[in-house]
Amino acid sequence: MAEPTASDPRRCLILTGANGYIGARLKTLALARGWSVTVLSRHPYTARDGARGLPWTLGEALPPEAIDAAVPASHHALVHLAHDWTDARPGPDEGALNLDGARALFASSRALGVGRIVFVSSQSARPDAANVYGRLKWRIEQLLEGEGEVAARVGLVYGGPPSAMYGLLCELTGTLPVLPMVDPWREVQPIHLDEVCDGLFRLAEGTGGSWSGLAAPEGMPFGAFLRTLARELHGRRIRILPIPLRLALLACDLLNRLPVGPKPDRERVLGLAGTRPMDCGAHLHALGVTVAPLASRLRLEPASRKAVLAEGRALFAYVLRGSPGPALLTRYARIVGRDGPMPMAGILRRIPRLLRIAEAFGQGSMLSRRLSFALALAEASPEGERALTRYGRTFRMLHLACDLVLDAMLLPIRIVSGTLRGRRQ
Amino acid sequence: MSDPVIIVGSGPAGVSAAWPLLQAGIPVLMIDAALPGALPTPPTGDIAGFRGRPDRWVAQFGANFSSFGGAGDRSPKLSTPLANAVLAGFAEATGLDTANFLALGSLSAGGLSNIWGAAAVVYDDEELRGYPFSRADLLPSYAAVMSRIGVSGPDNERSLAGETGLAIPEGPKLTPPLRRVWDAAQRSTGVAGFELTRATNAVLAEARDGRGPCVNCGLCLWGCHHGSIYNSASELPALRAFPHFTYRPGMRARSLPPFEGTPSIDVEFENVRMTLTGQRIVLACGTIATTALVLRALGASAGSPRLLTNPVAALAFIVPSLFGVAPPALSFALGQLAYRATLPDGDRAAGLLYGADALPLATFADRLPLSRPAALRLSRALTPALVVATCYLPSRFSSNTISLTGGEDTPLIVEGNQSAESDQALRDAGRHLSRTMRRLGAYSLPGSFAVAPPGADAHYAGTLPMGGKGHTATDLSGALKSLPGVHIVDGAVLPYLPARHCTLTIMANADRIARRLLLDGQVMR
Repeated sequence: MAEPTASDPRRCLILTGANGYIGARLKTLALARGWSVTVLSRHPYTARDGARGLPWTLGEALPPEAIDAAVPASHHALVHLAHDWTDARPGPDEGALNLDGARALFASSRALGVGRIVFVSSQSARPDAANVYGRLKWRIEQLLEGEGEVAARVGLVYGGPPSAMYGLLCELTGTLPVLPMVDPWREVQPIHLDEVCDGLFRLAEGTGGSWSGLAAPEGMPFGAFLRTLARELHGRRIRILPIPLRLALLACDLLNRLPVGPKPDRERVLGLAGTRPMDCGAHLHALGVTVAPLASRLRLEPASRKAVLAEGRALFAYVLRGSPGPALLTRYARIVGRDGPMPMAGILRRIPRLLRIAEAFGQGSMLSRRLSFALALAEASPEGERALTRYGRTFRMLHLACDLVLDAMLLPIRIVSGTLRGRRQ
Repeated sequence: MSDPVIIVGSGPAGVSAAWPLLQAGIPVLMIDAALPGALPTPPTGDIAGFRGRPDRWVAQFGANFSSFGGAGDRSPKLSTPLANAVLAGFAEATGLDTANFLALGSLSAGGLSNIWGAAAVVYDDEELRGYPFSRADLLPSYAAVMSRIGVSGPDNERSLAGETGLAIPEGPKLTPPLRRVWDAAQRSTGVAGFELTRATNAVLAEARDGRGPCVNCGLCLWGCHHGSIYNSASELPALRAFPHFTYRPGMRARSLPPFEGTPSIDVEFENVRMTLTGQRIVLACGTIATTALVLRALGASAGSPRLLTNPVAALAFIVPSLFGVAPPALSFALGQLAYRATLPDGDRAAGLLYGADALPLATFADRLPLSRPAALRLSRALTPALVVATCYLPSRFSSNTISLTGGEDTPLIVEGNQSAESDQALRDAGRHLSRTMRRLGAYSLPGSFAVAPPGADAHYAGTLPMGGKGHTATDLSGALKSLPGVHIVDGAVLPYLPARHCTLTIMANADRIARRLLLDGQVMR
């Protein structure tokens, strides 16, 4: 942890919504950066992570104890993330709880001399947003005053622990072969959770104007985003089924009544359906935040590595006809990890022998290349040597003869499979 | 003491030129682009233990997997961590721009000899026919070099022993398929136009100079931890024992500036450019790097010299009775038998026969049109029974050029070309070899014949030929008329490449040139 110095006094972060998807990560990173963190929370704060907890409920003023007496108030930054999702009924009083809560928090913070107020808003923030959330975020943004107060309009956030909208999308892309989706061609601007936190730190440190966009500078179709999630996190190829908004909302209502399964939120569906492009390249440049390409950033996620390991386990089981050890799997992950998992049917992971049919004739496909990698690694391992010396010469020759006969029988299927793959690629 | 002779490069040619000069008391400064930093450590033990070792992958692919991905159409020995480290940075440092040509070179101490296949061939009269001196002129140098580096292997070099008094000990044991072929050849009455011999290799049969004898460990591909396979870097300690020898690693030759009087060379050392002067400048940095220096010094008058190579193909044979046996515990991954075959038009092709049991199975499995489990198991069954043959043609079949687009920092362009005549001759040679091998009980594997891309042989020569004509020709002492005081001693001066391996001849010629400089009084103490 960095120690504060005379020229760089300790900065204090006052955080609402610290238990949420972004807030939890922001708190962890702030502590790692050497910030002093005060969490304002409805529940008693028990975590022993170095942060300080103070009781606070949305609607209350900033407790004076939130200001560390040893540090000038101007070195404190409030990052307001808390949002009450129960306050989402459309109408003349929509979002009153969130709006009044923010007003009270901002006013009391100003009164206590807090140097910086950062309100975490949304890309969907507009006076005419399709959902209450977007309209509400816009109205709260209007409460900000002066130089030291700024809104961060955050795009579609992914990465980190699979919770919130990201968690839901992870679950859907990891389980459904066909994903019904409203307007999959609509452009979204995905940004990694850590990149969002990086931007929020820059804003809390004093960079940025009245509002800053924290999102990918270039948009991508939402359907492509989902397919990338499926491929990079689960090694799956999914299909997107475009559906009308009304049907999607109906499906949301139905799923929420079921006792199990994903629970999509109408508000989030409406938010996605109403997303409009946000020009934020200049903001990111001014903040010094770099947004990595989605696919390469996802490959750093633990889920992606897990999918690569599962893929490796299946390929080694097929090539070796035995289980690979963890060291061999780690080597496989090191080799292919930078390219992410390969889309692979779940049944092939469960029954690797079926790869004999799926393995296309020729060396052109991704599966062929990865099998070649697996073969080279397997051969150069104790597992490989054991597999190749397991039996005596006679049995090995019989086994090989069976292999060759089976290969000959399956050759037509493999040739057709290779031709089809070639056309698809 | 007078100015030193400056030798550029610590490869086989540079070291071979240094020895006679140092022994005569001539001060030598050897500059070498090599930066301190160890090459990968060769694995210890033997091939039997290596196959199932938990850390085998490090030796095979490198700790950072730099060699992972297969050899493609290159020789397996060029796809090891050692080869990657030896070859690293050469193309960039030399400013190479290649088209259809595999240009290999090294900035390491010892140069390409770090990955030398160690084939030590003494050319006969016919093979030296295009040279501006007789075989008798070269024989003392052949003997001096062979005596210095240590060779082993053949019964067939007895004639050489007679000519030079050099006794050559028996080399490593033949592996089973090569033993079968060799034994069959001994029983056979012979085939017209085909000659099969035990290969002579620069591999020690007995310990000497801190190097151990070959024990058939079979790990040759990954680097010889016994030091049995010759590497010119292993001679640097002995050279440094001479008080009048100075070795400067990390110093890279940049250009040959115009000079009058004392020869000079511009070098770069620790990012500082400086000019060194010596009584003679001896270029031994390998054909491509040496040619780059000379062409850059000569400018436009140099034109586009031919770059000679030996067009090469590879093919595999199987000895059926060994199919499926366990791989041998002892092995040897370098050339075990050597052959020469006369082609229909009278040219002679040549090559080496290798065992395959010490090669990674992926080398073969990747070429088999089977499912991966079947390909892996078939490769394992095949390799103990395989004989892999290389097939080289004389350099008259090569048609590559090397040229410069401008000054010091402009690219050196190497263009490769594989003619239809060359392909046909390689196929003829392959057919001839196949016919003969069939008589010896080894049958060619269908589809195994593959022609390598131009340059894959790494036998680069002839850009500045001795006895040639024009601005880029050199004389018998490797001197360029247009750059007096500069002598070339590496492959660049060989006027012609027979089909057999040229490294020993390059070394002998470097030795010969150094002795000639002494005899002619061109260098002094």
